[in-house]
Amino acid sequence: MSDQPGAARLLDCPTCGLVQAVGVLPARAHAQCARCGAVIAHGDDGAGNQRALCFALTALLLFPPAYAYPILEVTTLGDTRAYTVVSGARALWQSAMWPLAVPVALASVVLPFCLILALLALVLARAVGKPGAIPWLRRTCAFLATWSIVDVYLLAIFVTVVKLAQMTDAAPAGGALLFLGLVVALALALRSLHLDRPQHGEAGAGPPARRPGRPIPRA
Amino acid sequence: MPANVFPTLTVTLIGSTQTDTVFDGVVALWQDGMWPLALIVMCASLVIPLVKIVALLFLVLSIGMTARRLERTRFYRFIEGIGRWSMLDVYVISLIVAVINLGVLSGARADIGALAFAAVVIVTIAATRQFDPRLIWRGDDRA
Repeated sequence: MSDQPGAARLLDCPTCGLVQAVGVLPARAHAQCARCGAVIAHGDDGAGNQRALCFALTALLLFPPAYAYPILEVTTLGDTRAYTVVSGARALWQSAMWPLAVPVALASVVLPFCLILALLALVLARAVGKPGAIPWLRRTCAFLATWSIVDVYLLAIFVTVVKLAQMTDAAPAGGALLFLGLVVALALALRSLHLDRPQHGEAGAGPPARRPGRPIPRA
Repeated sequence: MPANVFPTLTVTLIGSTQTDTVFDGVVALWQDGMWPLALIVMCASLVIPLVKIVALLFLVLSIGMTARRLERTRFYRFIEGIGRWSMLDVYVISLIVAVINLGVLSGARADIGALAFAAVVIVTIAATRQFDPRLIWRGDDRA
């Protein structure tokens, strides 16, 4: 398999397994599988890594305030209380439902933070030139991205406000905006990195990122 | 194939325990006259997880067939995308528990139903990841 720019590569579709030859793609173009239409390669515009670095750093900067500032303010009987993203997990823990608190805390706090760090590590590895670390960094990022369920949390804030509106005076607080910014920054960073396919010339251009080395099952 | 089937079966067993808690909430909304919201909650909380389980089972069992493989592939992509959104319920429950417990109103506990629900979400996401969509196309590539 040639690594020179301009040479066609043989890639297998991660969804249906069909092996196809892909030429060099113009920037921002995508190559689709001829059989099932899934995206199998991305055109490299040279700035993807830089964009990802910007977004990942933004996410990192937004993380402490987004989780420290309250996202929800509730007023009952003249008394106003504020709640953060962590309040949910804390309350579950304190109400003796710790088996539930653990996945909630992981999916909404711990794993997103690990994801930001992993994304920064991947960006740095690509920039500095440590090709050996890249395949497992990509897999780690993909794994963390699956289990960091923060975009759903945004909707949960809204639904909670609606549900509480019957009994109390509830409204989103400033932290919710910061949290929204964090979610957007994370999403943009993930999009800029194209975790599902390796970049041109990188190791791991054979089996797809999430199932390393597993061959297509035969009858 | 067993690796694909096992997570799906576990999910079917757990899925039954959470119907009570969600149903109470739905009934309360209905009685309050907010029936569109009740319908939405019902859809998201009960229907979608069930649909996901059935859908995954269908995908696994239909592996040998050659019919409609493109549609089944897209179907898989769709399931993969919406899996995490069932976590919405768990998050809302956690926030409401927080508001009620740390606030002025009397105490509340998230019940076993919520735990079962979270388990359903986690297991369905894991089961979806476990399923290799290339299996749908297995018949074509015999050397």
